[in-house]
Amino acid sequence: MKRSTFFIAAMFVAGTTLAQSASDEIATLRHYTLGDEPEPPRIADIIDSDERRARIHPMQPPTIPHKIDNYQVDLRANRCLSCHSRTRVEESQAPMVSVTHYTDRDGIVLAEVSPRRYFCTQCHAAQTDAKPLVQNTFQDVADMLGADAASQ
Amino acid sequence: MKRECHISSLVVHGRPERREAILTAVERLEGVEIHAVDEHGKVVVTMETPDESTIVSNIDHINRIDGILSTVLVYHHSEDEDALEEEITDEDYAPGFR
Amino acid sequence: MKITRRAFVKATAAANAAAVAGISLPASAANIVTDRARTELKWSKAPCRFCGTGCGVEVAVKNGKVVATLGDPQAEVNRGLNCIKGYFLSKIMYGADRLTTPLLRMRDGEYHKDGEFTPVSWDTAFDVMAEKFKAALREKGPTSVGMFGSGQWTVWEGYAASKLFKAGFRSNNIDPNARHCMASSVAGFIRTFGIDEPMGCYDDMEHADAFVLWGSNMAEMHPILWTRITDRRLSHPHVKVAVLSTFEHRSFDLADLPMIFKPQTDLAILNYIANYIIETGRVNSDFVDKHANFKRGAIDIGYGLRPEHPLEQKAAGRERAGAAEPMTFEEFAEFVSAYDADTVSELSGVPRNRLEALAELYADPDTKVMSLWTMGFNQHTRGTWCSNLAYNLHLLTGKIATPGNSPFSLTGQPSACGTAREVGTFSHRLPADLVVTNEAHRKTAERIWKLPPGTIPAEPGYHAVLQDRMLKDGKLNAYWVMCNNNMQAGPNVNEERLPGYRNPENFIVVSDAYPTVTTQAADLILPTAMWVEKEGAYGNAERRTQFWHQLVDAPGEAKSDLWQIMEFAKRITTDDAWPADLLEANPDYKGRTLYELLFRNGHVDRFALDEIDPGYENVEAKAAGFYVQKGLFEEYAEFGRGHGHDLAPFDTYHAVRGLRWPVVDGKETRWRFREGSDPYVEPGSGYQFYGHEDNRAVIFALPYEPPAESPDDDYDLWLVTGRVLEHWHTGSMTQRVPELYRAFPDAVVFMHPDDAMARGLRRGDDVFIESRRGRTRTRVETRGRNKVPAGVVFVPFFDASQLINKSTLDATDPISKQTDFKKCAVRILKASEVTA
Repeated sequence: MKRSTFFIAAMFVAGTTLAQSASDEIATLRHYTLGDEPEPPRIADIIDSDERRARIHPMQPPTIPHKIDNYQVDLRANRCLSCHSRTRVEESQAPMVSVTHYTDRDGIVLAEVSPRRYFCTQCHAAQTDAKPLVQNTFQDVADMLGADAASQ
Repeated sequence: MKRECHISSLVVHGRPERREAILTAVERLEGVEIHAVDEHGKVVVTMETPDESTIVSNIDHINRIDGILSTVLVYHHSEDEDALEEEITDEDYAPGFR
Repeated sequence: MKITRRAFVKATAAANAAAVAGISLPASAANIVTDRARTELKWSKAPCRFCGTGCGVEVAVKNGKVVATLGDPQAEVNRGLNCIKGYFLSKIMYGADRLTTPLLRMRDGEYHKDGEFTPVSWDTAFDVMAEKFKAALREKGPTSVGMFGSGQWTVWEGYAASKLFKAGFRSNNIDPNARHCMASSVAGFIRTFGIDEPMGCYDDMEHADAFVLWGSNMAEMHPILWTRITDRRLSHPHVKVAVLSTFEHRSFDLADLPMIFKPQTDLAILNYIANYIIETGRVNSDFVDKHANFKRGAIDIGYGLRPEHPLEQKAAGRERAGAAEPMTFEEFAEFVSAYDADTVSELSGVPRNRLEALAELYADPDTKVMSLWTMGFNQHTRGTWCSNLAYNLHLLTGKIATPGNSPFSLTGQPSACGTAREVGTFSHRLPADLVVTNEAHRKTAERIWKLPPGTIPAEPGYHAVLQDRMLKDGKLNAYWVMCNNNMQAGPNVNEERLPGYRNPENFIVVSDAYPTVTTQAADLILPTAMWVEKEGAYGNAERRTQFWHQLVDAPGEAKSDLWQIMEFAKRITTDDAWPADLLEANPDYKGRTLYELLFRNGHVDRFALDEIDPGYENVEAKAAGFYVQKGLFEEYAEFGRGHGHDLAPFDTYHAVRGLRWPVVDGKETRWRFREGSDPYVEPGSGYQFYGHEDNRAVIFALPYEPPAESPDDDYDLWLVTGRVLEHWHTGSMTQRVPELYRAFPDAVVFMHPDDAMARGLRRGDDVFIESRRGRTRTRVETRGRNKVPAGVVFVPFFDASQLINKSTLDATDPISKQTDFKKCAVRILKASEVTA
């Protein structure tokens, strides 16, 4: 007898048991019956390492590698730009906001960061140390090119 | 009764700084082979086991290694031991994603 | 070279694991590939998969996979920008647990309600499903079958589903999850204007002098529209932003005029502003005399609970919730005069000077005002009234349908407008604002659909919450849930929906791309293609219809909703579904499959496969043998062309970045109801609100009435539920994107530090949040992005492990039937002190 199975990955994540009750076996974001109220995970900590992370493609806004608790970004001040704006990076040694941030809706380059980009957290988020519930099989195009090269 | 063979693959994710210790501990398991390791500490592992319960016990064992973050079973295939010795030409050899 | 099967299987196993881990097995030699032929990506346009903003994105495909997306610089909506979710669109289809085969609960080789999910073929799945639907039809008739659909369906999926139920099964028991989202806005539009959807468009954001957010956290829920408002506010210092909410959130960061009001008192604030406009002599009498009528709406209309509920028993007006009688301007002025500044300040908790500053924005004839609302208004037991009262302010001042003067209802889902509303997938609607209760409207649909008279039933079907109740009561027995996760998103899980799904009398089918808590409660799961795995069309909140091509294939056996609907229609015949008298009177219709009846009607099947753009795959069309999307769209468009809902020809939409209907003579319409900008308004009239026969909009007198449930000694806190920026709705897509997951991994209860301290709680504590209906276990958050006032707690609903809807109340707006997810009473208990 031959049997092959491509598993729903993460069904067998460490710590979960193989045999769960019938109503549970297909749920992967929730590992409990619908009636259960499991103890929630502790509130995850924000990673504050300041280490840059790879982007999934060149257009991805970078995630924030540090804490931003209590950063003031409102009508009065923008704490993020106090390090990341063009004129402050020499002092802060933080990466400068990308050049895309200086263009307005019509593609015209302005003297300062465009107000449409003012609220940084609309695109950039800090990352916690939580472990993803499900793997993601997204393939980086660089890996694809590498794999092609190796198979040629 | 014919003997079965179970071939499975895992992605084992461990802390990069514990890599050498993790690889040593994983390799010590019977039928386990390491295929690739990346800089984030992810390891591609295959296992040949006589039954399903050994897969589970091996996963449990790996999970107890210090520095392991997760272990995910990706693929599982079972077949008679004898059939696996059959020779095939390498045109059929097309490992791919689905 | 020869290898053994052992080596082959092992290599396959390793390759699969490597793909999951994102590791390439053979190491690449060079560190950059420069060969143009290999680095080139195929880019195509698509609308974003998430919210109702309808941003345009460019999608890059390589080797049959989406590898990147970017904000489309040509898309007028977003001009190159995306929010954080949009930038991670390329990962949403690649969660490792995609459903790839139908799964049926089985025991001993056959279907069993309590069996285990077992992979089956599509044939088996449809066989069992057809048997259950036929049995229900046979035993209890068409009211025993139903469907819960989606504002995330493509236009043609919603249209096909609506036809299958309303015409095929002759059951109006089809309702979209947009009922939880937009229904109050719809009812508001229909009552005030007689026609659905905003008169203005997003261009208003570059013209307004003041923005008023009525229960909408645009900074998190409509981030790209928020960038347009931020741009306007920061670029033009005279512009003012007012933000009203029951708690402080990120949109307050831009607020010149922040206001926290007590839940439900928005009704009183709206009436106060009308009163202020009248008392300060700023009514635009010329506009009002020519273009408005005044009406007094029915009051004491109940809360949409089960009829035996005490609150319904004592609601005198519940039988005539939507009724209204004419009144004069003087009577209206008298009515709103009760809402003076002191009274309303006292009731709402908003300081008098802020109320006056807000009212002045509306009253000042030189300030162009855009009012924006989403779930704060819509998910409200008086949600329809909220819309009506907001329109009052714009109508009294004539600030409407001109650039920058715009009462604007935002939508939550990518095609709440395009599919749920325009196609009419609600239990009372037909395409292009037609309704099942109107005989002439049914006749129109029967003519276009080539059906005998009397096919479409005249009674509205079960709406969302009623479907849950009828499932529980065993009256709705064969049920198909498609493109939504209602077990997580809908209210009152414990008392109504879960018992309904698991009722042994019922057979529940759930189509989804991923395992969800709804599939967990299903009997049959159908694996579904998503987003750019199929050709699609969405309609956004500004009436913009946008198309995309199929760009990649779905994994495994996963198939689109459209394919599923058409294939299932092949399993049912008119003999199964229609009564003998209808068939006797129309013998030509005997013995036809619903597929032949609805999709091979000489209409839907009139476009050949060679009309498909050869650069793209189209799985559904090839399976059908004709260009089914084009056929469905062109048939659907017949409903609206020449009736104020004109859509452009199908092929146009593949070439442009969307168009806002009505599209007349190839031109889109940005502002409706105004002469010069709307082709339907007659010359010399100035404005025509042509949804009503007399071309007038209605100004409604409607009072403040209390919510269905308020905190008391036992349950002492208000519960508000909602979303966070990084997750979309129930998180079934965004929780599978690692970067989005890690940005906000688990739900928490946002509490005021004093409320926490009073209960002996600290940040991070494990607690139960409990209502009269159920409880959910979570952790306390006293910091972070939402600052709730004492007495209010906020819990997002994206977390499948923390089903906050176990606690919510299924009270609805009696007019719109939309649930109020923003107000119910709960208490919070330390988990360690709860005896399990």
